[in-house]
Amino acid sequence: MNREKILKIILPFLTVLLIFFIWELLSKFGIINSALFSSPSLIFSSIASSSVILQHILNSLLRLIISVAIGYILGFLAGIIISDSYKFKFLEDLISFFMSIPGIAWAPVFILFLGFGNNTIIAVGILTAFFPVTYNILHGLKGIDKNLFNLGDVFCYNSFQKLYLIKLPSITNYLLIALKLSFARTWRTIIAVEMIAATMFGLGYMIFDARELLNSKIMFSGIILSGLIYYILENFCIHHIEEFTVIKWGMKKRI
Amino acid sequence: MGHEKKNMNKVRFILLLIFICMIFSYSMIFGVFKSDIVVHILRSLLRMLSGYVLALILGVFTAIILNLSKYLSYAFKPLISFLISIPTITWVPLLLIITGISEKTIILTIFLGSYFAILYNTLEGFENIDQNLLKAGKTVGYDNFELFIKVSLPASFNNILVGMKLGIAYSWRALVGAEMLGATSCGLGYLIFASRKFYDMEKMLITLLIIGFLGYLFNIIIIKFIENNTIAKWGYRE
Repeated sequence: MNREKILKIILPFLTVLLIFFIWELLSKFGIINSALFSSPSLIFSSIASSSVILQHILNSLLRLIISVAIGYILGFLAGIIISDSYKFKFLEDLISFFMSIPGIAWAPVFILFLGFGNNTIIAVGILTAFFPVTYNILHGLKGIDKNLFNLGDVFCYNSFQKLYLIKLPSITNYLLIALKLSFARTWRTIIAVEMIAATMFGLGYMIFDARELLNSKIMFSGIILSGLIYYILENFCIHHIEEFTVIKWGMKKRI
Repeated sequence: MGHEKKNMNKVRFILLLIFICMIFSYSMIFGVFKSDIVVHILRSLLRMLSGYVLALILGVFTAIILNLSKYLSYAFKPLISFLISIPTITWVPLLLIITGISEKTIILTIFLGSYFAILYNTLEGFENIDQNLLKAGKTVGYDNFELFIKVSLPASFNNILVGMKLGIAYSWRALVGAEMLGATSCGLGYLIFASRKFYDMEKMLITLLIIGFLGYLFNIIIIKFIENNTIAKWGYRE
């Protein structure tokens, strides 16, 4: 059992090291074109030595956080309002339809309105974050036990108390799924839109700019970094929030 | 109750269909599009199909190989889950310099978008098979191939379907992005990107709706159809 656990941790590292080693050898002996495929030592030295990369990462992260924050709040409000009234029922289909439009497809439209730069990127980011949040909150609110509302009536709760004491605690699981989804989608979209619409900084811009200079080590480091940042965001940050809320309350099992 | 809900869904779907048909006929009548829109749509679908089917076959095949040994799947699983979290679009510039501006780039992007998701989920499915089922299969006297076809594949189909769903969503997104950056003449992404240069608002918005509608269609029709005919029939899920 113990040996199994150690192997589970060590083996992935060994595989990655082996892959890097083979890749390094192949490019050193010229079997693959090192101008196109680069090599691990070049990639890591360019990540370590360049201070511009940090600027790119910070810019991308800032855009991500701003657009997820605004999109989440707007989506949350929209979800609560839509679910409150029968008049807005038809909007549900529209939301699940708009959810399936890829965020990057909006980019050219927004470029016409807002021009190149941060405005477009953040606007598209907000739009991508908005729909999954609304969709999930609507789904969550639909599944609440009707008896809880009856109980609320017995206690003479007003509608704000119902929201705060009944609705929000019962949809916490969905709120977190919404957060996860909106982070995942917005990160992908922001990187994509940066390729088209960024003017100065951003990971997507960095990768696309390196293409024109045939600078494959920067491109590879961009690919690795963008994956790594998202991986850390999901597996550490969001997982911690889950640990403190839904898992602690027993709404979701620990995996 | 359930029956009513089913009917309601049908009504909703038909309404959506009518809505889309109206947009189409509007755009045909007022000359926003000529018949070339069909070419764009077919080209995108063809690329999607070839990339996705390739990813599906190779993904399941790789999962079978990795499942041969416990240690093999220990070694590769974290790496695969990391590769899923790389945004697919970041591969496009790299593929552009390696394979050039061509069909290959777009199809490879779609492949990369769905391959890892399908692989990871299939592997997960193979790992979580109830061991008793395998033992029962051996008792009946299946050889390894029969065991795979008749026990492992159906038992893990739920997870494979999750991977397929994720893959189709990722690669449709990747397709639009890749066509914007790497297509030369055809495709929906190309159309939306090219009409930006002419300030052609109508064309852009309608293409946007078509892209959304096709993505919606993949999920509703194809995945739901497969789901209803396999898992729901076998009683894994309602």
